[in-house]
Amino acid sequence: MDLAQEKKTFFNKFKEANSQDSLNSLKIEYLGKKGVLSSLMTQLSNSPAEKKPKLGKSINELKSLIEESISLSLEKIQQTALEVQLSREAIDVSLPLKPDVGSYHPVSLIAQEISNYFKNKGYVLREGPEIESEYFNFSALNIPDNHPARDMHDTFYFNDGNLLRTHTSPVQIRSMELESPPLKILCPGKVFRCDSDQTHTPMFHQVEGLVVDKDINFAHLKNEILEFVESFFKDNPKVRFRPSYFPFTEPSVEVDIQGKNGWLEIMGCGMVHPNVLKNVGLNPKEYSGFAFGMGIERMTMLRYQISDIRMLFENDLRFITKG
Amino acid sequence: MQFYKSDLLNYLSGSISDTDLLEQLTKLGLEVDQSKKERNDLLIKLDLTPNRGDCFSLIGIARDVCALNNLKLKLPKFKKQQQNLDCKKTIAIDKRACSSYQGQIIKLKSKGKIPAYIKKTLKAADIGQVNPIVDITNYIMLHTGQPLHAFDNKKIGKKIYVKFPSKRTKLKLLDGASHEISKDYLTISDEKEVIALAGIMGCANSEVDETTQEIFLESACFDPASIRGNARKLGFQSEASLRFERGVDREIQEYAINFAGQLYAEIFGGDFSTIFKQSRQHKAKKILISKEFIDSRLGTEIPATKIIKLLKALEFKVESKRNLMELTYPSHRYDIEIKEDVIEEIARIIGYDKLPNKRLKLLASCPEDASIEKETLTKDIFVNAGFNEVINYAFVDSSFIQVLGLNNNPIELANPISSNQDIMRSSLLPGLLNNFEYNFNRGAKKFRIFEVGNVFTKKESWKSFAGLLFFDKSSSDWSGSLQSSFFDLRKSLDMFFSRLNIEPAYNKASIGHLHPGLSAEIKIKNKFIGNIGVLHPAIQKKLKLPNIVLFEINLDSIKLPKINSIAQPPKFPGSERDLSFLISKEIPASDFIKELKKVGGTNLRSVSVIDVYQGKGIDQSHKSMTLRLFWQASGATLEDKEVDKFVANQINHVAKIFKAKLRS
Repeated sequence: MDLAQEKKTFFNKFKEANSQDSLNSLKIEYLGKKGVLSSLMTQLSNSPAEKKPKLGKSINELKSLIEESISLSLEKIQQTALEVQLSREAIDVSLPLKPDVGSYHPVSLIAQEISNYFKNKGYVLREGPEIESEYFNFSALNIPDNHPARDMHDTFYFNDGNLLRTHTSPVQIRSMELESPPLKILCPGKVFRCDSDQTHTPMFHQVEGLVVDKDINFAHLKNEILEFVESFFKDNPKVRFRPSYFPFTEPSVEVDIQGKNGWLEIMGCGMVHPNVLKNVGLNPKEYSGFAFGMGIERMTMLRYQISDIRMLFENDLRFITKG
Repeated sequence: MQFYKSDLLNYLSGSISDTDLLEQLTKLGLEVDQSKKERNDLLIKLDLTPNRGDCFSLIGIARDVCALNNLKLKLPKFKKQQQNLDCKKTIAIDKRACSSYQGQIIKLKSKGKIPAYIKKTLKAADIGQVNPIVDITNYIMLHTGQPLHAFDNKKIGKKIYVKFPSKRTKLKLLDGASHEISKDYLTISDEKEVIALAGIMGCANSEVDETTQEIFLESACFDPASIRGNARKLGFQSEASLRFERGVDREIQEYAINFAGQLYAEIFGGDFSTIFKQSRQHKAKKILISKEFIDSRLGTEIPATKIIKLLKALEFKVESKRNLMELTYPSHRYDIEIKEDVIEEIARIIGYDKLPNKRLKLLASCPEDASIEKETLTKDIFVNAGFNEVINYAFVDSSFIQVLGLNNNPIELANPISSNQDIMRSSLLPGLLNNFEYNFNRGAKKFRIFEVGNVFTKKESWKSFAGLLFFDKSSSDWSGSLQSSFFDLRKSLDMFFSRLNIEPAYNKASIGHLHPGLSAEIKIKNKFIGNIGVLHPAIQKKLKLPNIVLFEINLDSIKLPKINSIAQPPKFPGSERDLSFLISKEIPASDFIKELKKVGGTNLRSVSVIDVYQGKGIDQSHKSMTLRLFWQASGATLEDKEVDKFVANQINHVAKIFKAKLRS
């Protein structure tokens, strides 16, 4: 038994084995059940007893050496193969993608922001029909026929005498007719006026708030508006309340904020006119309330610095998806 | 109302800086629309609210400024002219419509020349010069708020009637326009005919001109209710009607006539008749108000003395009656009727900004409108699905609707803003198609847009929800091509329904604007709620549009899901079977699946379509459909034998109903 020769033979073959397959065959050839080493072990058993221990040790050393060499080499080859695979699978992670991003219309975004603000303050959202009767749009709101205040509203009419609501205020009336105080509602929605220029479109959106209960006063109204303005306009602008006129409120107020180039009108509000309360069967001696309303497009334009309201309804996807 | 500051200063017993004046006017509720410095003067344009008719005059504006600054209003006094002209005029008024009518005959001695200061005032107000006689009436109107009218006295009779005509009457106004007026128009008439539309405009038949030597000057107070809306119905607004509609001071008629008299005497020289007068007894309105009521509505503690001082400055008469104040309204304020109006006056003069603020503690609680919640949820789902929301006008072009074949009884506007916005939309699709066209023409390639909004027919209105899908071939890039088929849009819609826990049925149907083979009506529990499909090729061709996929559903007919309990998923392994059937291609997959489910037992959890094949090896009238069925029991592992039984039943069942053959 020439172990040195066996070792030499093995390493000659091992040098040639560069693939996983050849290594595996080499492994079987030497370490398998019928392999070289097991035949060496058989020869060992036939050897003289005094030589056995030393020879046995040498065979075991050779076995370990072969095992180690093969497994090391296998590991190396696998490692290389993995590296090749990884490198082959590598991609250009910087390739541009165009994700399917949806968007809300800017007007919707602002309407939702305002609605959520007031919802958190305990207001309940209400909506009403866009085609209204004269009664709900005008008479019930203390705007009698032929009153000059009707000139403030360029109204769209239908042949049956109905009209497109010119403000969201009819929802106040409908809500007060259905529910009794305490009332704290917010009505967002579309309104219509026969008018079109840089600051007017024949359709736009308003949001209107109404609070009715006992002992509601002007100080409450002022505070409610101030807190809203502070929340909506992040730069905390100066606010101005000035007298105005709406037939359905008394006193009536116009609210301005200080802009870069002077005061900007943002909303109208006031204490609910006693006639309006009477019209829905509430006793103005017992109840009082306030209402406020603003144009959502106007707030949208202020938020996003848009100068032409008509842009909001052209629905140019390069514009309306940027809110 | 437009004027020079210098004209206003005549009435103030003190000076005021330009900035202060402008700020004060706005704070008084007399909104400054524009102001312009002009040669040592300031031109101011006010945007007046309809309640403040009194401020269509310099005196009216000055009165408010005085009240705010605690100044005394400086009113010049005018003497009556010597009345030596012996003329007669009889006046009769309809007391339902006119509280006072005064007139004076003035014989003018020369041709007058209008001085520069009058020209300047008229120019400020944008009132053109007509002739010296009329220019003076306009000047007085700007100062006092009292519209005056000068008739050529030679052209009118001896009797003046303020009355409603007994029948429809034709007349020609000063501006040359002819009208036929109804019995609702208050007129000034003489014995023969109408000589003026009261409070609106004079008639051509009594017009003053270059040759006029004698005028009858009218200074009257017509009730707003008898004037209101009449000018507008004729299609115009005059300086006079503007003021009468809002209310002219009931006590200023004689003051205005004497003011005018002085000017006519100065500028023309003249002989004056007596002032002919008729009036109705007017009872000044009074009201009782308490300090406590004022405080309760304003949330204030204002001393009574301050309230009284302030109201007096506004020319209210104030008398104390026990704990109450009895107020008599000033004759120039038509807008003050109730206590709240008085409260506004107090708030206005104190300054809204100076009044207190107080936190509202009220919390009302009532359920939210389900319709709003549904709309918000719908938008959320579609935005998250990558759709862009659009908002279109609610009016559309009727001719476009016709091209689309959507003509389902639309409502026409009586006064559309333009002919291409003449009817209310009965569908959101025209809007979406317009949006498509607009953006496509500007280079957009990818369209995933939707809208939620009300639609209208003559019968009803409802909240609609519509979407449009289109990807141009050139919109694909290295990451693959985007698909915009019927099923790509249906997938988004299915996701929406699935979020709402709704199982819709899609049935083949013939829908006017959609491709008959690539469209479906959508039903929930057998109720029609909308449709989806590819735009009809004929319409595509007519409008030069590509293969757009659209859907529209009625959002009102969809209910928000109830809160369900969430069941524990089964723990035991399930059993899956794939079955291929050969069936007529006309049989909808949904019907086939429905029948399989019927006899599949309660443990059949799902049936999905793995493959549909038509073509080689299969008769043209048939299709092969491969389905994957999945059974799972919640209490135990299902035995193969049990499943085999269901499968056998199913095969028999569909063989009977659809003549379906199992493919091996």
